[in-house]
Amino acid sequence: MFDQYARLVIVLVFGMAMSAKATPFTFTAAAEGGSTGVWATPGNWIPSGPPSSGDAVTIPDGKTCRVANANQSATSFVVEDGGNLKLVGRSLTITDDSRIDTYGIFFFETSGGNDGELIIGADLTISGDPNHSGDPAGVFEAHNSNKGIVSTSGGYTLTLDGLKNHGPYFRGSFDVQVSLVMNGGQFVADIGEVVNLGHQGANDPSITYVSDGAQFDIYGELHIGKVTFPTSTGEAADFNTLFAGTPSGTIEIMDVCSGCADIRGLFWVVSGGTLDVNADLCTPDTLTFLNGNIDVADGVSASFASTCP
Amino acid sequence: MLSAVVLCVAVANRAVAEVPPGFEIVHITDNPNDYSRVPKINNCGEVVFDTWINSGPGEIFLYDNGRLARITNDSTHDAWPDLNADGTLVWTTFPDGAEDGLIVKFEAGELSVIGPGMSPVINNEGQVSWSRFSPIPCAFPASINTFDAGSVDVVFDDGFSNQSMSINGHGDMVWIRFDFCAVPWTSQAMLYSQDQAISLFSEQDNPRGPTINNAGLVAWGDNNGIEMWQGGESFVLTDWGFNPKLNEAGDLHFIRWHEDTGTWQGWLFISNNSGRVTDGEFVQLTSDSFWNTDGDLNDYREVAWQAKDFPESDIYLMRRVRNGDSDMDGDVDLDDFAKFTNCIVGPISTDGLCECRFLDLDHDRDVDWADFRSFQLLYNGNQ
Repeated sequence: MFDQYARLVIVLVFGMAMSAKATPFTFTAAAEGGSTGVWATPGNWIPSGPPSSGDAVTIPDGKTCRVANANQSATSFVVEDGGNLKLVGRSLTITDDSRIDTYGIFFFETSGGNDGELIIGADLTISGDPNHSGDPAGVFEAHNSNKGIVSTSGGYTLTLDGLKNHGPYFRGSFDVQVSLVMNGGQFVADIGEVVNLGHQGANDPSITYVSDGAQFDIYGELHIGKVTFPTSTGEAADFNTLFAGTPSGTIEIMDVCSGCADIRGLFWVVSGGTLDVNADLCTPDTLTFLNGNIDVADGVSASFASTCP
Repeated sequence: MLSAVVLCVAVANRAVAEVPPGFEIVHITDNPNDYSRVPKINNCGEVVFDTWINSGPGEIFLYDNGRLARITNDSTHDAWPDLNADGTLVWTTFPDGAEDGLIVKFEAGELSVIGPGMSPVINNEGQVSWSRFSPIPCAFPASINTFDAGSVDVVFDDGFSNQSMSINGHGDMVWIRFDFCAVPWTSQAMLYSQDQAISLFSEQDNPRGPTINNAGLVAWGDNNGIEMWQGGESFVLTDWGFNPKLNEAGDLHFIRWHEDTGTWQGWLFISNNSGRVTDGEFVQLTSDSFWNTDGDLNDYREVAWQAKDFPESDIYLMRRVRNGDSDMDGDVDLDDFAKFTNCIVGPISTDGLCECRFLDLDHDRDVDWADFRSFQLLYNGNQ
């Protein structure tokens, strides 16, 4: 019976013409608990999945998707405002260059001795909607006894492209083991929480690029493995926003790239903690010292004078 | 080679969705506050699905020839239903506070618990199969369980995550075995038949969502389209498609991601029964501005599917037009009249008309003399 109609709508076996390799999936589980709220359950997705390394993923408003028990991969993902993605002692790998515009919350939870981990298998940019006036864009949270890891499978870069002082917003303990470009974004560590940017080893290639708009509020500890303050003109970097505050914690500058030590307009506020300088640093006219300590290692110069030496 | 590809693009882009003549689309649900999903359809045209009413817990609904019945009405979350030709339903229920599900069966008005697990399927023999999970990293293992003649058995448990069941009328089962410890995860289509499980060769990575019919024909979607398997041989049906569902004729309902519109759309593969399972025609069923996703089809090529964009979702049905041709042979003749006389129930709204629904010509849920008047007008004899 169909034969007589087929000529109207038939496309013979060349569907490949419009094939798309990165197919989208939306997470729709009703509940968060048990097997019902996990990524790995096929029926939790539209269409039925689960998505894999070739697929694009959306976690919509009101839904919490847990990457628990099993590691997962996706080409890219979006966590919408009101959506949550929880990495519970397991990893999520992003496999293609992608940009994430998000206002959702990414929870990194430690379970069974394993930390939640985001693995960047391609360059990844995280940004929020610049028109959004509410909470900070893209909250990455690893509070209490949890710790989050951001790592890379091949030397890729994580870029934070948020508004000034408006996120993406990392809150809690993190090991960011990738080259990090902060064109915005904020790290907040409470008492007892530790943020490590870049590997801490001598041969670590990871560099943290800090540009205007980046911010650190450290009540716990911040260790920056190697930091640079890039400018397009080759002149000293010029910031007009708060860079680093130590209300009670410690910021440790472990290494500063050669030629990048002259940092203008960068505000340092030491108000009760410690700024621990282990590499030559010169930031003219930008120090506000209220209380606490500035420790400068032997053989290292730290200048907060009007001009650099 | 390049020119051939360009030609294909042009033709494919011109493909316009048409409801095939002889079929019509009805909206089983149409409520912006509800989320209805994962419909299954049997040969009686009954469609079962779950609906999250006003974002509340899921409830089970059954559509039968124009009547929509709510099967569950409680505070528990009821999800992932299936049904067989007898109208026996199975689904997963999540009792209050429970993190994992229970498989329940609803048969002849009686609800019974089969056992713990999720996502059951049932065949026309009443055999039920489902997965049962263990929250163990990193494998997230799930075993294959069956219920048959009152007995629950674990038929496959290898430490991997075995999910996405399909079962045919012989009790043969296919599913996907996920290795979640691999990064990225890998998967294999599995077949369980005559007390043995084998893995099915797949040309492409990440097979998902398998389906099997009584002829032992298996199909699944993967990263690059739809593959089929029968008798030890694998075939690539198309490199564009996902989540196939087979009927006994070897037809497939499946979905395709349309990059140009950013939507999933429903398609049919109609087998020409030439002996080669990949011989047939592709028909685009939908061309909407929203997602048309997971669906199911019966042996009459009636299709039920999930449509619209999250958080709204409704159930659509493409059903046979009631034209008096109850045996689908292209005419309205004495054979259909013979069926008519067997189907007459009088002017009483009747559940489970099943194949007699094709002679309920005025859609009032009975087969009576009002339908016969229409039948007389449609009668055209043996063509």
